[in-house]
Amino acid sequence: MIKIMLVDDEINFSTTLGERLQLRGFDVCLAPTGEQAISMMADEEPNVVMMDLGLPDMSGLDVMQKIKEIDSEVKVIILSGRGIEHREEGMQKGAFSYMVKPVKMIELVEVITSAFE
Amino acid sequence: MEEKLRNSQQAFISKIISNTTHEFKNHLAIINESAGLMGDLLSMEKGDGIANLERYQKIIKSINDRVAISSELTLKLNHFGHRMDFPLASFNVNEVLEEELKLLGRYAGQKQVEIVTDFVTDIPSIYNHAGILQYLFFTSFEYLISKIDGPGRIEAATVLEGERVRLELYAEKIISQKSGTLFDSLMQDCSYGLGKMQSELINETTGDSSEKLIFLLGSLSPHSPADN
Repeated sequence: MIKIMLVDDEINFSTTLGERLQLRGFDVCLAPTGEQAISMMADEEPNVVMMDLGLPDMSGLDVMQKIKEIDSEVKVIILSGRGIEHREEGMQKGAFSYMVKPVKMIELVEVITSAFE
Repeated sequence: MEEKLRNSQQAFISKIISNTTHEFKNHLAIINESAGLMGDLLSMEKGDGIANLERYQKIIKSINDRVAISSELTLKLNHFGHRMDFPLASFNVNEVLEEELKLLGRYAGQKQVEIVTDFVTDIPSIYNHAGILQYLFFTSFEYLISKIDGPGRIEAATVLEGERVRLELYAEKIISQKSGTLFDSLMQDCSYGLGKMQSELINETTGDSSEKLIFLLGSLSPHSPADN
């Protein structure tokens, strides 16, 4: 089963999205801050990290870099509320995909599954 | 000093727009996921015969449709705000105008004016002040709208003219006697703005009841000492 870590400080968003992903057969864990996401990596061992860029404690791009240092195989999907202005930088720094909120579930699931084809 | 203050004000507006649109997108994402989760739960319980199931599904679809429209507008507004971050930049004239027309859609609708576009494809980017272009486009648009008698339409077209982009705004059913002050005000704005853009406005009145404004937009040199 694909395990997804949702990193977002908007708890309403991540719990709702998490529940929808669980209904589609994914295992989901939540991290509301960058620090928590990094510290949860070893125990949770997610296959996918879905993260916002605007985190309260750290820059999302820095969090992604640290996560990739812990597990270079993990697929990072950026779910940004900021538009596309950070897309290029995000992709250059190793994101698997960059999507702008709000996302369509069908497109999100397609991106997740395409990461493991 | 005045220019510095204006630039600081622009940066301030840009930050407010950018932060607020970011906030909007987060709220829209929550609404989107909440409606989506409702739909998921309803589909799972279909077999139990939920009363009014079709109505619920219609309402969820309506929420999703509105979220999609609002997201697009928010994204355009976000891009519009960010244009003020880089007063001088390389940009595609069509993209900048399409973004603005999307934001002006409601305003035009309230004035009962339909906007029709005919933009040339594969247009090269120009290096200039996108924010000034958007402002001049808006003032020209507002000028033409104010002169249209009742419901009407404005056609916006771009064509390539040598290395410059020719932007045409054309309106019919124009009332000529309302022109005076508005036209002077438009010319004042254009004179200053186009001077900075090193571009031109050709006002070509094509008939008693129609008016066409033509802009010739060129590129500034990236290394020129033009102010930014």
